[in-house]
Amino acid sequence: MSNAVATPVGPTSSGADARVSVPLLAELLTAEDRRRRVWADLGGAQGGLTDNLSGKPSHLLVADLPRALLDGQAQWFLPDSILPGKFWREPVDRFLCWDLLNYMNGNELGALSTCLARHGANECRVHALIQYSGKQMSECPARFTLDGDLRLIVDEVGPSRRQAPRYSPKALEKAMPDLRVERTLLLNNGMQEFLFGLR
Amino acid sequence: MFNKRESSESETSSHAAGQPQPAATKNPTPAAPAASAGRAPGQAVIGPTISIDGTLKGEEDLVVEGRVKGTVELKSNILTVGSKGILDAQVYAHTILVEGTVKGDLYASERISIRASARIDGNILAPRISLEDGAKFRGSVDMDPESEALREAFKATSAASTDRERKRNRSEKETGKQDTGGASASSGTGQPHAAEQGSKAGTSAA
Repeated sequence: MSNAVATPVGPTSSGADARVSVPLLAELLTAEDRRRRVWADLGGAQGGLTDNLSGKPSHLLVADLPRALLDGQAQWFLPDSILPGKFWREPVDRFLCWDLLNYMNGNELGALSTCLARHGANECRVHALIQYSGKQMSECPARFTLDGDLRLIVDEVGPSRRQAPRYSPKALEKAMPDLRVERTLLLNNGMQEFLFGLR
Repeated sequence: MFNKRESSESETSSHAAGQPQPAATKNPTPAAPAASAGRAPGQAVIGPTISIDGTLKGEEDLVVEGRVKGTVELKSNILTVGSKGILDAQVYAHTILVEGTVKGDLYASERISIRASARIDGNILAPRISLEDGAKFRGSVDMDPESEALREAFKATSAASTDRERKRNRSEKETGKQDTGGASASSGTGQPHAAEQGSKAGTSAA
């Protein structure tokens, strides 16, 4: 596992419309193979990701777990409880979790990792953003948008705050036994970028 | 059932879209949604009080502001689901613009545009897809131009349109031989005729 610090880009605040460089995600998106890839976005639908995948032989699933959380769905953390079986016919190559892992407890993380392992392809990668520096984080998952330069625009939803769990790589591996931490990168907005592989 | 919007009406509606709407109007024609400003005159419109259950087929552009359940096939044309439109249907069209609510699969041979006001639950298949931030979408997006499902969905159309083209050419040749002046029996009124336009709604309107 490697751990590096990303070059700061844009404002350092984690407030609305802060643009953040996300090298590990950019690497996944710019991989220059013409293989058909199945992406599963656990966050809300966003034009930036669709634009980026457009023209590539891609298939994108959008689960919109933040909406399920806001709607008070009990199993909001399980993408296959939100999207029925017909959507999961092909193994998934790339899962995008955005900041959702921060909003899950140990049991929920464990259930999610089992779900991802069940639907993941052999060389599947799971991308996530974990709050590491601030003790507080937004009450609800943020809205993320990729811009044309593959930088992330982070738009926090509402002013309410809650305590951040600040999961360490070891804590995440313990809570998600089906995943292993492959690479991490500290971002300038107080988050840590994670890339997981399947065990 | 369809409200064929005349050119002048379209201009009025487009103008009205940017203005505050009056509280009540005698004309049941739907207020044009924001994106209608660029709509071509003469589009067929399913108004907000109309509900259709069944298969909707046609060869002209269509705007849905009402409810449609079943299947919509406009394989050579543009379907717009207006901001008041609610579809619970499988949709096949050349181009699909969504401002309203769709539950079902959308197949477009050219492009699908999803506006910020849209709510979609289902599969989206098209070579080009644009999605505005703020749209509520749950399902899958297939942008593979070589997609088997997309090819399958439009295979019948390309075969049918080739066949129609052949028939049309044959009939034009025959008409030319007879030299009847070329006036169609169904267009005597000067108004577009539903059969002439190729619209076929195997539907029950409620």
